[in-house]
Amino acid sequence: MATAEETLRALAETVVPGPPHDDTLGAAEIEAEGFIVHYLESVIPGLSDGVATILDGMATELREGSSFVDLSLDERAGVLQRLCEHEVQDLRELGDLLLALSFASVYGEWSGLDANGELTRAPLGWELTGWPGPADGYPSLLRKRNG
Amino acid sequence: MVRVNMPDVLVVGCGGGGAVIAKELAEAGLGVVALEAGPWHDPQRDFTGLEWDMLNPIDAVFRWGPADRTKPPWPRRRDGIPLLISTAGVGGNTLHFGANCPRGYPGPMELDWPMGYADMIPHYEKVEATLPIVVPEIASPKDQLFIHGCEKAGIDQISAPDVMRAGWRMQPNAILPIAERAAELRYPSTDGCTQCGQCIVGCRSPDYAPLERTAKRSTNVSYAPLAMRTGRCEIRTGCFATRILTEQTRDGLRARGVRYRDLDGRVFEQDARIVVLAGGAIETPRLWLSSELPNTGAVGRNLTTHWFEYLSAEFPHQVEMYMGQTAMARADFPGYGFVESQGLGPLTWAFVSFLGRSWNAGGEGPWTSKGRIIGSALKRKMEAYRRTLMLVVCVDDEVDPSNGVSLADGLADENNPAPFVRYHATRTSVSRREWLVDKAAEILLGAGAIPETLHRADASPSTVHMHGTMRMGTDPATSVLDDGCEAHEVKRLFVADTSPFPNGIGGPNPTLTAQALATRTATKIVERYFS
Repeated sequence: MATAEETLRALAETVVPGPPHDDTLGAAEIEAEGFIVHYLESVIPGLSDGVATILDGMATELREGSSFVDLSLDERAGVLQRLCEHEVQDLRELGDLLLALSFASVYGEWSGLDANGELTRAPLGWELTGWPGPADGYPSLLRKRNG
Repeated sequence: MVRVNMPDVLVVGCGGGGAVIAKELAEAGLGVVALEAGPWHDPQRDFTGLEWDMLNPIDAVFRWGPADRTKPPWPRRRDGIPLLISTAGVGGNTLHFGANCPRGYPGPMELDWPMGYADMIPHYEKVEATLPIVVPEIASPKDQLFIHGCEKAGIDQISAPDVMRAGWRMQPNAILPIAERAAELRYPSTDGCTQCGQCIVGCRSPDYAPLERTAKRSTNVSYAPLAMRTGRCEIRTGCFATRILTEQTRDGLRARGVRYRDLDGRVFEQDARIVVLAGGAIETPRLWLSSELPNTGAVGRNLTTHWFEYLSAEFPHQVEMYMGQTAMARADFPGYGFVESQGLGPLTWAFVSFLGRSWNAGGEGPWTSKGRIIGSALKRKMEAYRRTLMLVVCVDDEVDPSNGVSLADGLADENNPAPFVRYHATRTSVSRREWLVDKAAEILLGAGAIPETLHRADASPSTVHMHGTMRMGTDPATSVLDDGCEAHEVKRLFVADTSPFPNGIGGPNPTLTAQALATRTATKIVERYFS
């Protein structure tokens, strides 16, 4: 049985895949589950275990005896879509939160922060997008000095 | 810090509107106390430029919650509007606004506003001079591309601040003039906007600038310091108003003060001759309803949001959307709304573009993809970030009394019952939005976008813009405030935010109009009670 961390890593990997599913690095390589667990727990303590249980339950509905980590990437994406389109508003909102946290784990600054929360290296998402990060300004877009 | 013990006027909320009316009234000679639920940030110290740190709804610097970021945000319940964006703190939502400050369209204001449009012009002019509003001289690459697309789509250039016909123009922005090139990109060598592109993430440009020389003119760096400079205004931060206090007089009910909680949970009552509510279009009706004030039916109703849509497309060349002020050019379409180019960091762009309502849908229009995208398809879109131009569509959404704010059953924070916000677009709003989406696609393709890459976000409604929940009007059955923004049912109680708007002003960004209205309301308060 997979741990909650493993299940949430499989979730993040579905949203932002890396090798062998994709050529460039993804959420699993930066252990995005650490970010996701932190924020789920800050919303409601114990929520990360609850989310793993929900994802595993939906996986079993899809293929009996399977947990979420056993599913293919496409099957996991299908589970996420079902969650985001669920008739219960709280579950739909949970699906939206999981997608948003998965995006943010890679394309936000988290993977560039050290243990003190200082930005010490380029986050993965900045490398993947080519964004140079926040700048003090762009001299080429400033006014030429008069005279 | 000035202490004002017996204020003439108590202002609840020191954001885009509250700071303006506090400054105007203090300059008129009145003693003013402004209560602000959040902190007064120091941009140089607090604004990191990091998207998640600054903007996430859970524990960011800009969020609707206590100043202590380890505490949870204040909860809200929603129907049809998943994302409620508000920021506690001096400056309020101007802390994260794009600083686009056009006037409202004259047509819809002439139609539905009790004082019409012409009456607002001198007040617009005063705010434009005070902030100041500046039309930038140098467009960033993304905006140049947008302008090129407009011209290819046959859209004329217009220049008047009072927009009567469709056309594109450079944005009137609440941002200091673009700085001159200097040896060092920091104050005082550099004074003015450095085009760093972080308007929405939190402007601290240029580095080492004193508060009042911060380039983007959020009210925490403009109106609030001006209010303090009078020596007659006190801003109490970390103070959440929980009840409007009233008394019954021969002439009817009137406001006499406010009860509030401070950061430590201590409860205070502050008396004042006049109370001004300026907590925004969600919190102002929430406070009214929590205070159990009379409601003839219009309180909390008629919310408009401009229901945004976002279109992105890739180009064969670099666009670098992150360079320059967030939005420097716009195309206005009276009767429909407007379209503008907008530059965001990669995470914010991903959030608005790829977390929409539908799931990986195809195109039934000029776009080839629509809605949510995840997996390798998302990564390919993100890899093209630097070659992508994004346009925002902002709709003149129709007023519908069933959209608005009430109190949530069984959900509360430490202050009051939580607000329950409902928004569903009308059929007219949907068709105006589709018209603008087609126009935006035409602009992108005209600019040279690769047609197969056109993506439509299918965005849910949100409260980036929000107005109308305490509308002005002459009939108390269908409005809350009179044409001076004083409550019909409670004398000496005024409102100075976007909630008095009888409609969405035709679609343009609402901040300047709220500030002009607050300026006008200050003159009404002085005329009615202090002259």
